[in-house]
Amino acid sequence: MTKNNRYPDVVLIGQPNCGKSTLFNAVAGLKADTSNFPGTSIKHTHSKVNVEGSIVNIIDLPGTYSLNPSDPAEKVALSHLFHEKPDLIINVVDASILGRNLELTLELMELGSPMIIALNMIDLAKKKGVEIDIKKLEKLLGVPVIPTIATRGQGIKEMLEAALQTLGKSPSVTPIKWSRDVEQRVEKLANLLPEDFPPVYNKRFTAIHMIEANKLFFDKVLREINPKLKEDLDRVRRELEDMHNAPSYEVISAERHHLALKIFEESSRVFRGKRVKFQDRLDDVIMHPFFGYIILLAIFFGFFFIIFKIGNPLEELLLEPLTSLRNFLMLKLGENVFSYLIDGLLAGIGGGVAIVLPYFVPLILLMSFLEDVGYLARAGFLMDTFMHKIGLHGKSVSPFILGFGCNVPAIVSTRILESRRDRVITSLLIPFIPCSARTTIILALVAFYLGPIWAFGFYTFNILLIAILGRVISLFFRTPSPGLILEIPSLKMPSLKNMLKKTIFQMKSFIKFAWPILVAGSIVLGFLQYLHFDRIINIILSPLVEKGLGLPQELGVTLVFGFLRKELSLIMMLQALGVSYKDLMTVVTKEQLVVFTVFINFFIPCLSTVALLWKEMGKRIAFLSIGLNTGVAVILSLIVRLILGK
Amino acid sequence: MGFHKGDTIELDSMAIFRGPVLVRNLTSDTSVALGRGIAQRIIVEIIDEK
Repeated sequence: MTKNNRYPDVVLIGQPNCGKSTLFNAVAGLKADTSNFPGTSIKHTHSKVNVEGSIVNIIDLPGTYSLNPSDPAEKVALSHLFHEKPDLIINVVDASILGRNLELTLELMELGSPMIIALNMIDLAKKKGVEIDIKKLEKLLGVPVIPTIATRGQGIKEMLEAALQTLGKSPSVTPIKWSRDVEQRVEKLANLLPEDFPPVYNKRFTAIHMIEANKLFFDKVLREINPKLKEDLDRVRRELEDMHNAPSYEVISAERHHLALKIFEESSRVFRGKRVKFQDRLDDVIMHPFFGYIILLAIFFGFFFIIFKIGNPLEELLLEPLTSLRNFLMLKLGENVFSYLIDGLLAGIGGGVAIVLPYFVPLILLMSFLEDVGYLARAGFLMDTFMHKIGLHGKSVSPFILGFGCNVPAIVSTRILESRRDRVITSLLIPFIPCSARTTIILALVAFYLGPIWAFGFYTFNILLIAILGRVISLFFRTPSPGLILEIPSLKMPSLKNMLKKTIFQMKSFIKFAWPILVAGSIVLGFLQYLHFDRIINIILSPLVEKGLGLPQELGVTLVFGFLRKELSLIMMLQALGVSYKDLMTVVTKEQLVVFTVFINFFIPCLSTVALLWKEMGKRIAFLSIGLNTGVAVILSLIVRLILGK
Repeated sequence: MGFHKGDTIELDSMAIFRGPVLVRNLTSDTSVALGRGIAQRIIVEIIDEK
């Protein structure tokens, strides 16, 4: 079906953590990132889907609590809704907290656009003892309600069928009336809107949002462009305030709240579920002022221990045939340009398979587990006290933890932070978090050659460094961090299928974007080595690499390439030194290994991170980040060399 | 933060060193972690002291 030569737009919109992205992935295949943490979707993702022969454009919008946005991610949802005007709204509702979710539903109904409701997580609602009468809810709201369990793909077919039917008929949604006095004032203002006044969606919706908009800027502009309307608006606001003894925006919000609760009570019955009691007890321990931190430390330690225990033997197993093949080919081909290129190619391919993937895959899998189970928000609660010491609050914990997987999505996820101050500090600190690429380097060099305790020490030091830097950076900001407001989602048993899907999604992204860079970089290095051009780069960098850091001169070129991908430095290190992975310690000392790891780890963020920092935070912050990371890397490496050299 | 006048809330946990408090909204059945500064600004009335 096409309209105006385009496919109809169907948006998924709902409150944070209601399962929109999981629902989107169930419909469109794996495209949106999901987790059990409010605000995972920070940008909109779209996909064309064939529903029974009709193609529709499905859009997953970031979660928003209301149509009055408070953070940049919520603004993305609102600007899409207002500017693109979708053909159908699928309001995804978390059935386990129906009362609160219905507040957004009521607001969306005010738009008057075609709409259906996906009543998601009905399994969780049942476990919590909430029994919803779907027919009654449909009748009360006047829109189709389809129960779904997105994690299992249940109800998706029915939801899409209902979406098609509603698209075809295009019925308008009638907003539910509020109490008479509020309704009268809204209607009065809507009628007073001049004919040439551009309404958003419809006059009623515009009037409601004008009353709610308690913003000085809006009021000032309105006074300038239409003083008569401003007077009318003030009068309506005053009348509401006098009658309810509360600010007018609060009156509107309370109307929706009470109406949502009324609909919830009329359509649902609540029994206290056994599971909730168990969950409450579990949460009491996880978020306990003492045991909570013990568990947090155990999870942190266990996390890296498991990755190392899986990655280490796998790495050894995969490296052996690769080394034999490279030795065999070098012997057969002799020393010529072809052999250099083939060796570079094998180093790149093999490095990805044998060195990166053994650590990368378990890291992503375990990260998905922590995300899906709902632990990130709990870690945010526990860490808030310490985050305040570095000038931030607990909400920054989620971007930080995501940073351990990859710094790029972590920087995007800073959009969940309300203040620019917090976004800048968090974005400057994220490049110091050892992402999966740097974790691979730490595990493959420090843990492999010096032992896991050294690697754990390295990590602990890394976190301490972030704390110190955070403290220092926050001194440059006069405004204090706004306080923490973080919703704690219910604990959920993660679905293995979902975790595997996410891991495959990340693996595909590694194979598609990072691996080609690794292979190309290795081939280029092979070619440079053949031309002896690498020596020129090494000589230029030798004052820093050889004299400053005390590393073999040959490693200079690897530092340059590390800017493209951090793993590239590791793979190129072996190539540049002309040794196999197992023989590395015959050409470098333990001290040099640690200095190299420190430098690579803290040196300028990789190309993708810098590009994203530029896009999200601006040129100034991107350059500041490059300077900060390089400065810290040089200073720390020199200090480490001085300490270990004694 | 999802709190409205008249909601019944419960204090579930308090983090160490004057860290955030964990508040459950029994009306909407949601849990929210609140920094002390924000929590202090919410006016509450004790209805059932345990």
